[in-house]
Amino acid sequence: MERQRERELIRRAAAGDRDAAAETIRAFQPSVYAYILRLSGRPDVAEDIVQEAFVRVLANLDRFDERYRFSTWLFTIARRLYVNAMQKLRPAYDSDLVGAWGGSDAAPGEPVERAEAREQARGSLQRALMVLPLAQREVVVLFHQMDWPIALIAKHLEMPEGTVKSHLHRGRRRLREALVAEESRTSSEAWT
Amino acid sequence: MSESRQDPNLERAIDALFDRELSEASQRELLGSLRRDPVACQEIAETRRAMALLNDTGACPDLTEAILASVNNRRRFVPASVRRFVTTGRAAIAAGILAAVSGYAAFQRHGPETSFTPTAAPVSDLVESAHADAAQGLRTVAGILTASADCEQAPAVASYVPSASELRALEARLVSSQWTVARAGSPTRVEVRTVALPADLPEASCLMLVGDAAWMPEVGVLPLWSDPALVRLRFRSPAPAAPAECSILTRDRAVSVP
Repeated sequence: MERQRERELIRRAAAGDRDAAAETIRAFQPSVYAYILRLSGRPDVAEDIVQEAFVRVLANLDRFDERYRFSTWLFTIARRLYVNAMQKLRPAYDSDLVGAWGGSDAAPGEPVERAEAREQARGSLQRALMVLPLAQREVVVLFHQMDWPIALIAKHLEMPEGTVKSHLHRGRRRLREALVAEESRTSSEAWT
Repeated sequence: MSESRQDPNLERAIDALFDRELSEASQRELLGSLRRDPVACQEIAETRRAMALLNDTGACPDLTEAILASVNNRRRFVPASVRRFVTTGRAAIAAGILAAVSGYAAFQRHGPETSFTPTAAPVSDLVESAHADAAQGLRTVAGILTASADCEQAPAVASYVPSASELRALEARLVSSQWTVARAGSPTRVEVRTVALPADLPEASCLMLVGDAAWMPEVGVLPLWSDPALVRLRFRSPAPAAPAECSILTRDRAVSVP
């Protein structure tokens, strides 16, 4: 979303415009949901956190500083909620994740086998991602999935840029290795 | 799983590639140099695959209505028609505040000592202030009257001890501290005397004017003069045989009797 359009929507939503609030939610919902889903590996947790994050942000729009990006604010609140929730919930490392990812987003007309393969790959990736420590997972997701620059990630996670890069390099390498291991495990299970 | 590389320079170059720090030319050069390194090529391919899968997030549930309902419980949304009024109302309030501030600033500019805030003062201050005002008024008027060429000089003042019959008459004629005095014609001389009152009389209870018989034929009975004037009196320490302090202000002159 363009900055100008974003500001206009925020102003209207802050003034009590329901349509502007709805448009804002629809614009930022997928990215913040994907972010929390990647961190938690749990769609139910991601839904709860995304909902609460939006409610908090929209109820306090008059405090929003237009010098910053709305997405940064939203992600910061969502992350805090996730970190708080993580202290109460154990992260999902087990096979429940596979079912949690579901298969409802298969493209119309997509062959069943192909859709299943995609789901399997997604599940493998998420399991591999959950092997990473939280800091590495967050940096990899923000850099490669959200396309955030290193400087913004450093600010968001409140750590030096050098540390962010270090987490990124280690996390990327570890993710690759975990994914290869996960896929070889899945394929050997399929043959037995 | 791919084998791990040992060359730190190559590792840094691959990190730079995935960190998006290499130009297109540098990328081509790096990938060209890796053609003979199958381990590095496999590592790059596996990392690219992981990144591609990372971007395949699948479907996102639409939480819009649930979020809006929750937000509406905390902070109500306003319909567009009402919002217009709210905006106008806010503008009107802002304009009102601005006008009030401007008006106050202008008011302060023309009368900087004026204050809208009432200041508390004890009653004793009010009494002292009234006394001070009266004394100041007396001095001012006295100054004006003395300066007037038409007025005659202040009359002679002397102590006067009334007779027993006069005192009895005074006791029967306690008057208020304000008299309305009228005068007929143009007086040439008015003699003012104070009376040493009995000590048991209330302080500042009485004043006796003694003058020419033509003007004041009777003690305690004022002659009828045509122009009324306000007479203010003030007594202190009316001790016997010592004249009380007295101030008399008529329209034409002020007389102070020590």
